[in-house]
Amino acid sequence: MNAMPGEALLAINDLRIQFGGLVAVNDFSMELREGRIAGIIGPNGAGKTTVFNAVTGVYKPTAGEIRFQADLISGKAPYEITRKGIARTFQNIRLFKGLNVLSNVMAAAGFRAQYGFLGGLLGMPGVWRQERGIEAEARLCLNLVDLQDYQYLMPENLPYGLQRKLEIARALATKPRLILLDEPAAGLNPNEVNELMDLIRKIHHELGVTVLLIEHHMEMVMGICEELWVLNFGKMIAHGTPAEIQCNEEVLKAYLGD
Amino acid sequence: MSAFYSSMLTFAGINLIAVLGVYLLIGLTGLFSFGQVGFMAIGAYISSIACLQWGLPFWAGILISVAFALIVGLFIGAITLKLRTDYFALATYGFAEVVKTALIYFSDITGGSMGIFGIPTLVNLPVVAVIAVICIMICANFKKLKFGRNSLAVRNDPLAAEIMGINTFAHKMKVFLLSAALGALSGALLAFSTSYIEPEMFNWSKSVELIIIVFFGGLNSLSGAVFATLFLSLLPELLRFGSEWRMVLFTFIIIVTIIFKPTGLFGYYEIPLNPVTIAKKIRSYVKKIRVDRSAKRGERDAR
Repeated sequence: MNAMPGEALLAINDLRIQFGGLVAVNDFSMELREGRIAGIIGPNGAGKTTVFNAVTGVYKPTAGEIRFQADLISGKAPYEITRKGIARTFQNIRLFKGLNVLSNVMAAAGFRAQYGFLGGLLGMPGVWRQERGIEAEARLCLNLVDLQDYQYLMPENLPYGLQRKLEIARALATKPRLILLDEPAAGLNPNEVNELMDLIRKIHHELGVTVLLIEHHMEMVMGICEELWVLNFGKMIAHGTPAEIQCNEEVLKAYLGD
Repeated sequence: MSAFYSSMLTFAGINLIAVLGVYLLIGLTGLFSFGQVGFMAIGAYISSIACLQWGLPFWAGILISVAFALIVGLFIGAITLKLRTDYFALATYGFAEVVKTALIYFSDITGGSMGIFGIPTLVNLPVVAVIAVICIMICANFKKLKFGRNSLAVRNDPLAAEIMGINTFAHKMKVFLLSAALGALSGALLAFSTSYIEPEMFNWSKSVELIIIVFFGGLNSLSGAVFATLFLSLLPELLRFGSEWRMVLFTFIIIVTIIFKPTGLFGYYEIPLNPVTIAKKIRSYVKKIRVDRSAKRGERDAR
């Protein structure tokens, strides 16, 4: 999983996203190398989630381009981008109601099942074997986040912290090379935040997944990120290691005012 | 079985096939369509015309009508499936009305509002029963496999579904086409069992009836849809003693059910059909009875 030096897993070039007259992201560029845990921080409304939405294909960039493993992905549909290897979680949890915990994860692994529509409907041989394969993969993801005891519960009945973990398990079920976590620590208590940090390290080490996260929880950002980008009013104001960011004057100004 | 009950059940079975299509589309996938009756009309008319005017055997007529419904469905789906739910409902309603109007307008082929007479009654209860069971099995597979999960994901959060690698448009199209095929099949069977079809049989109220059945049985339960169809198709006859009040009573039963059980009669429950599952359920039930009994004995002894 060691990336070749200089080759970026995710490269954003002069990304610009405009809603009418509002410039949400203004000429933002970044290069994320494979095998990193990195973060995007910034005050509320700085355009962090908009960057995620652009990377995952929810918004089409007004200008600029996004490349994943050197392939141009800006302008592609979200499901195509996911299938290329970018997974994400949401700031406001968006689990599938009506599907239990296991099925939520299986839904995200479904696109890797090879059976076709007619073959599946007619119950052709091999369909159920593949289905068990998907189920086993989903179970592995649940084990990884320690949710194996909740498989048959409905997600809305889980405590908030476990719902966050389930979102991560679901994202991992798409077998990503890059996972985007949108404020994974929001609403968690200090204990759960520590658990989450361990979980993110585990995903990074055991699965070799590159992690890019948006977070307001500074302890966590400084604790696990190796590289940070700081956004304010849609513009990048700083980029560097957590230590560099902590003493950057622009950043202090953005967060604390003059 | 008397001819009366046999024809009742035949009609219920034909209804069931159309309901299955609505169940997949509206129940599981949340695509609120009023167009099912349009596909039923296509099925009924194309199969009858193929049989009476082109001289094809009735099964070929049925296949042609389903194929035709798929082509129409592909076209209608392509232009409506990207619409938001309420606009989708309106567009599909419009589609069904257009079909009905076309049936009246092209009267030299369709017989206009007089309809088509003298269709051979080749479809009886056993035929409908076999076809209905096959359709139920297809829908059960749909629900159990990734298609069912995709449907629920698309219904509950289309954006998250797309981000989880589901091609939501393609999936909606598949469901729409399957539902169109089931509708056409149901319409064709209807034509070959009643021997007479007219545009008025394919009113929007027929779509509403199918939708009510799905809501009554429960949006998430295939067993619910099957049960509700049989129950609601036979209920008006069972309520015959109430003569003119029976439709009022019928509606009342539906309203009361929806009020007290908003998720439908069955909610998420499915009747297990897999012998292994049934055996497991029975075993756990017997065990529970034993435990209860020994607990009671323990209580008595303690006293």
